[in-house]
Amino acid sequence: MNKKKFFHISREQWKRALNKVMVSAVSFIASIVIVGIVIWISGYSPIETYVSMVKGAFRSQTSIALVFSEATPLLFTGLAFAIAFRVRLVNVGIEGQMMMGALVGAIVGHFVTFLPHIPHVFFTMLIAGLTGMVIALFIGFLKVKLGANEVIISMMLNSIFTYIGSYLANGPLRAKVTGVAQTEIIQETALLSKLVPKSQLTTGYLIGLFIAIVLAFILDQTVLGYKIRIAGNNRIAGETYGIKATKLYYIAFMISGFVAALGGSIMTQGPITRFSDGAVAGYGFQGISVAALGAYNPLGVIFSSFLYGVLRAGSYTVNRTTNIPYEFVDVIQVMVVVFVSAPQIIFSVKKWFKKRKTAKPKHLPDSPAPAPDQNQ
Amino acid sequence: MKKLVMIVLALMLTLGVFACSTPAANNTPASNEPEGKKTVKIAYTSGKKGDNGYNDEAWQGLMEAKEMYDFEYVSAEVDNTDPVATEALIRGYAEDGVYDAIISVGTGIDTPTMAVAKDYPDQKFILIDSYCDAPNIMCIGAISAEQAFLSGVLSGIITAGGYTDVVKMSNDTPLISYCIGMDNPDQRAGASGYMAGVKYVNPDVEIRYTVIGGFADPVTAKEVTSNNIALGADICTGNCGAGALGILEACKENGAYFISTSPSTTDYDFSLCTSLKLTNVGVRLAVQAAVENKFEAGTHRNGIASGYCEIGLDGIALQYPQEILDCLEAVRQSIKDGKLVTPDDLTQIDSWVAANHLDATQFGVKMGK
Repeated sequence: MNKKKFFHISREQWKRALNKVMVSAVSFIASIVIVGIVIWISGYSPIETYVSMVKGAFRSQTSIALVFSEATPLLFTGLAFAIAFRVRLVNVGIEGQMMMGALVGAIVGHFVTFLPHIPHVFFTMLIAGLTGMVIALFIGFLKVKLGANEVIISMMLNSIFTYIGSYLANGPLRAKVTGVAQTEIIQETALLSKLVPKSQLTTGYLIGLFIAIVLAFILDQTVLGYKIRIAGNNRIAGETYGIKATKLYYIAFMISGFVAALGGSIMTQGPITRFSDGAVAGYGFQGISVAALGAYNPLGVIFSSFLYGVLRAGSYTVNRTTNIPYEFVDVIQVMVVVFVSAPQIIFSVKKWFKKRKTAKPKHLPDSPAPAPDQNQ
Repeated sequence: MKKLVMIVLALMLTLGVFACSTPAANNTPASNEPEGKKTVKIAYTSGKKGDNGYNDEAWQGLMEAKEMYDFEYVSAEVDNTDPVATEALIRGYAEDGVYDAIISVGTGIDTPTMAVAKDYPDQKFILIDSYCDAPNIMCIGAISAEQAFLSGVLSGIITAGGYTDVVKMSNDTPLISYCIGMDNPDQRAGASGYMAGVKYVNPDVEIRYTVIGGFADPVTAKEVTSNNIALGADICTGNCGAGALGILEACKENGAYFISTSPSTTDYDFSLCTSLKLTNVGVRLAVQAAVENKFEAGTHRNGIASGYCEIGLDGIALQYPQEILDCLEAVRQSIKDGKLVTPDDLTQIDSWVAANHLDATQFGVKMGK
């Protein structure tokens, strides 16, 4: 690390970054186009749908707040997935870790009554985050010591934690007067403050931004980040230089678990105010899409979670004002994963065009949609 | 790179051409109305339609109300286990500020609605099957005890053994199996309504009452029910969500009769009847409250009197003789007249049964062989 070249970016780095941005941008646009075609085939107008989505997302102060509040959980899970992926670990367990974070947040938020507002908020987050950290550490332990596959382990643990949460919400922690499986509302002192009145947006988003910036700094500007990058890009080369991948696995899992569980707690302390069965379900898996679109870069994740926030907030408007099924937003998210995880689709299409250009230089074809069934 | 941008632009243009062809069906109410006569506007949210059960029934209620009253509506669906999405949706309608009432159907939507109601004190909210306390929220639900009361009366008559020609009974043991999902006030009230119904006409029946411990556990429900059938139960019922499928399964395997709480789990060959809670009536009442300006904050429970709770006999393979139907009608009438009040907890059953008894033989019903 050269201290003088603080935040210096070389030409090569620029080129690589641009390439990543291009893959993400093309993936996103291609997904939007393909889903647009699906919407059109279903008998609705894609342009009208997208216009009403974007208009709905930015029509007022509260709707912009909705964009950011929808982005909040995705920011956390996106970051959690991205950081683990930097050492080539696939932490599918963020779903379960986030849920446990939400559950522990609800427990600490409700049963701890002696703390004043600010300490209570941070104490709740801390305990929830540590829970996620311990869970992720356990997965790391199984991987490093027993050679288990982290995808399978974390996937299976998701089910276990989902049922633990479901049991607690249905049984011992169930609220007194309620017809559904949910815990009591947490204490007012543990609730995050609202950033915009009459909205679901809390200061939790700022915490997410802060964590994203810290993680970006760690990855780009510290020795630890350097090691993580080396271990992720070429583990064996790294080990030749004395960079122990196993230690980095632990660290990456711990950060990932902490961030995911913190996200869960922030949802409990924010818009949900209690733990209910299935309340934070799905954010973990969507986080994979967010991280992929953000090129597994914390700063990229800020942007991609914002983009998904727009999509989701806009989809509420579509749901509210039209008959168009709003589930197409989920399809966009899934399509993005297909394209980003298989960038060769984009590169091969690019190559194909280059070839055509040399063959017929003056002709520009008008419908070269990358085939969606090409997911290798 | 440039090429790629061009391609994307070309694609967008192509899409644009497609786009102009089909306008999206938009059900936003028109804003330019004639002065003087103001049409009531309602926003309606529920879970996903197409479940052939709860949400479809609620939607049917809205359609029925549309025939009866003059109002305009917009509607949206949301997964009500997702409180964030539910709040965002309801908040969006509240922010629009043009609706006379926002009607939301489902359990567990009380917390999201409360959060929005606090921010929009002038907006009226009507909830079906969720309960909370706020000055601008009206909650409509069923009197849990009355949902299964008439089914209980029918079970009591059948168990007495006078109708083995209509309903085949395998033994004379006066035993009924009852499973509930959770031990909570609502569920206990439902169980006590059924038990009171049985004992109202036939105090000698024993009802084996088991808490399954969840609403998604058909396996345990089936085990418990099979065990009760082995002990001599010929009628098996319960209120335990998906557990109903387990009870039905046990009945099919062992040749017992089943009473469901929803038409979606009613098996017409194996069902004695269905204990109905008619969500469509709830939605109709909600629309009526909005249209006729009868909005009243607080919880409003409706039962047999308003048609919210009923015994479902349509489509059932069994053909009940007229005297049984007459008896059921008489019980229904006495509840409507307020002469008969159902107990709402299991602890009240013994004293209730001691105070209330119906001699069904007065309608010609055969109580015993």
